[in-house]
Amino acid sequence: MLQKKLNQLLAPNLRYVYNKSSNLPIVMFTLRFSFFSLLTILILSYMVSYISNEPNNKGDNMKNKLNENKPIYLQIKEQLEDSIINDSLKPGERVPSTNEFAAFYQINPATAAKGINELVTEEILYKRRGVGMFVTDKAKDLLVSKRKESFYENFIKPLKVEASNLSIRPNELVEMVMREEQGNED
Amino acid sequence: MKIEVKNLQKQYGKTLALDDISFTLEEPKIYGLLGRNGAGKTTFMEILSGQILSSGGEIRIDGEKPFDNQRLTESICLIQEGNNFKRDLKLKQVLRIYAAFYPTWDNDLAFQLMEEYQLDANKKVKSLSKGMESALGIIVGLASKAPITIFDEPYIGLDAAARKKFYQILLEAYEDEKRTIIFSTHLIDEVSLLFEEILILEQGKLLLQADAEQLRDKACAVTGPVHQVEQFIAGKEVIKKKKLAGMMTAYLYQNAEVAKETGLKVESIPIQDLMIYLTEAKKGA
Repeated sequence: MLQKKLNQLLAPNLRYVYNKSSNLPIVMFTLRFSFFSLLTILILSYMVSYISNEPNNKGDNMKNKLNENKPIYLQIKEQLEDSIINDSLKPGERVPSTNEFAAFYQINPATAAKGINELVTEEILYKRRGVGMFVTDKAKDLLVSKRKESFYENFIKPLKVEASNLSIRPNELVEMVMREEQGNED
Repeated sequence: MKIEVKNLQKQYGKTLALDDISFTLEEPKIYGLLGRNGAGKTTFMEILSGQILSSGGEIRIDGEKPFDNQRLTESICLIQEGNNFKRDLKLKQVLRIYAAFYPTWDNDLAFQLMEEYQLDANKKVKSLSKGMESALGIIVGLASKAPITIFDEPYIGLDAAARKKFYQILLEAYEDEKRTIIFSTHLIDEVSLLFEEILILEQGKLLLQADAEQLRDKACAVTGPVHQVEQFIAGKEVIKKKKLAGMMTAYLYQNAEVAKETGLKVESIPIQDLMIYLTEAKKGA
């Protein structure tokens, strides 16, 4: 596909070169232009492939920007939880400090501290004085069971609401869930 | 430093710029002082920094009045929208004057910031562009390290990149050393995440003083089919309602958790929107 695009882009330039082949400076310029467009396309295609691979990386839960639709400390908290659940942060590993979060997102340090401190209270993180915050050994187990508890509320309930809006019957819904399952096994 | 404002009033001719406001700023935090044009923000900041006298009531900073008070003046730095500096002075002279005035002045930081903002110390203030003059104000405000630093719309003419740098440096300086920073701006969306506490003024009165995160928790926007939303908001303190195509969004003081149980879509209200809706409601618009 890339090759096809390349040809399309280069074709006008090359035609130009053929027509005006007596005019050397223009030929040089046009050739150079072709070279640069080729380079640009190569770079762009690398960027695209890099970006589209990004969600598969471990750090996919890392948000680049916070939004104001939710308290900020909750977003910091959930982000750390996600990192622990998907093993980006392992037991005993140091988590970013309040100031690191504040600098990264340009938020008030007290706000970042609130999110982190709640995780300390919930024994997901522990403090080592003067060193920093670390992930506890039981963090993942605690989080997984907490998330399971809220799974019905957060995922099943909205699923059922939407299903009833669309008049999808319960047995149809079950069938759909199973279908997805089979698809994954293939 | 603790700032206590008691029944503060300021009258210009027949206009009441500040109409009997009282509040306390307890500890070093980054405060956002917000409000529409003419709400009284600048007047308040000028009284606080001892530049003008109030017509009634008082401000006490650690128990003392700021007007004509050398000890306090040394601890307060007010950077305004423009004309902060004598136009015939060279930048290095400006810095020298402030260095002599503020006991807490950080000369290294000042020159590091001069470099960051690419200002030439040998140039005169009057040769600076608007944005560069704003940058100088920001440099002085940050390097003063004054226990109370006040920025009143400090960045006229500063481009987005330079503003971003300002927020970043402000945070770094604040993390190094907590101090009271009072920040007034109309570009609320850009800075609202920096604030720890919000104050909203409207027509000389204090409309609201609250912790920024609590505000995102305690006020919310609820969206859903009109009848469901109407049912939910009945008897509650509603700030604003919007309707479109059978759907309705209501902005109200309500704990988000409670609202979520209804199955309606619940979101926090961005500080900027909250400011707009609150002040609109007051004006009866």
